[in-house]
Amino acid sequence: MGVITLKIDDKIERELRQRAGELHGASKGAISKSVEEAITTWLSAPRRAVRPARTFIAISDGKRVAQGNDLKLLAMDLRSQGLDPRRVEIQTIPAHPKEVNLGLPIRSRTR
Amino acid sequence: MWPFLEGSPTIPLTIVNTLASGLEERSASVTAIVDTGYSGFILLSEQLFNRLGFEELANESTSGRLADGSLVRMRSAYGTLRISDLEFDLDGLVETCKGAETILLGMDGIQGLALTIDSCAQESSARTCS
Repeated sequence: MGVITLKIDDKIERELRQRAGELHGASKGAISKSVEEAITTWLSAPRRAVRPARTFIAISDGKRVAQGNDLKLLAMDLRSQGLDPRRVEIQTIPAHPKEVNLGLPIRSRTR
Repeated sequence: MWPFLEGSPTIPLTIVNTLASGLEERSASVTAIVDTGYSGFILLSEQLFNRLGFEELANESTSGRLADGSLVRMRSAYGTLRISDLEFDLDGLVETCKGAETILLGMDGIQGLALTIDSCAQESSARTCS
């Protein structure tokens, strides 16, 4: 069995301990078992593409109110705060180009 | 392997309005034409864009430069394209513009994929990079 030492957010740790207790009781291995289950679920999820990391952020009244490394995480963050995605502005870091090509440029030349 | 459509390579995929999933799951399974001349993510018809609820989220204003150099105004919102066969999800800027009819998968939409185009068999296929 491998041993991994992790550093996680306090809130997530509290929720993890609570859920682990509910699912596996107060046994010594409850947290390890829960983390193993969570990692197994994460590994079985569809693979995301390999491309430069992009952070999705939600802006409301000029302030960043939620963020995620993908849209699913951003949606979860918005939902957990009771924020309607239709009422916020979504941006990315780095930003998307403001202009896209809809066809390869052409140039006609007359002699 | 996916058959060509009107002489162009295609990829069957699902477009998901991920941000609206908490409100009402909206997705559509479509066949997209791979267009390497389009630098964006995915271009939908206005009708499909609206049906998937992207117009409610639309908050990014972009322009599209046509091959002749002229500019068209695009409406866009963030969404996910999913290729179930490959267990592949990719988030990006879903776009539409006036007159758009064909679903085009652009260069930003094929990031992370290795595409094979077989003009002899009139088929295309893909695998993920990793």
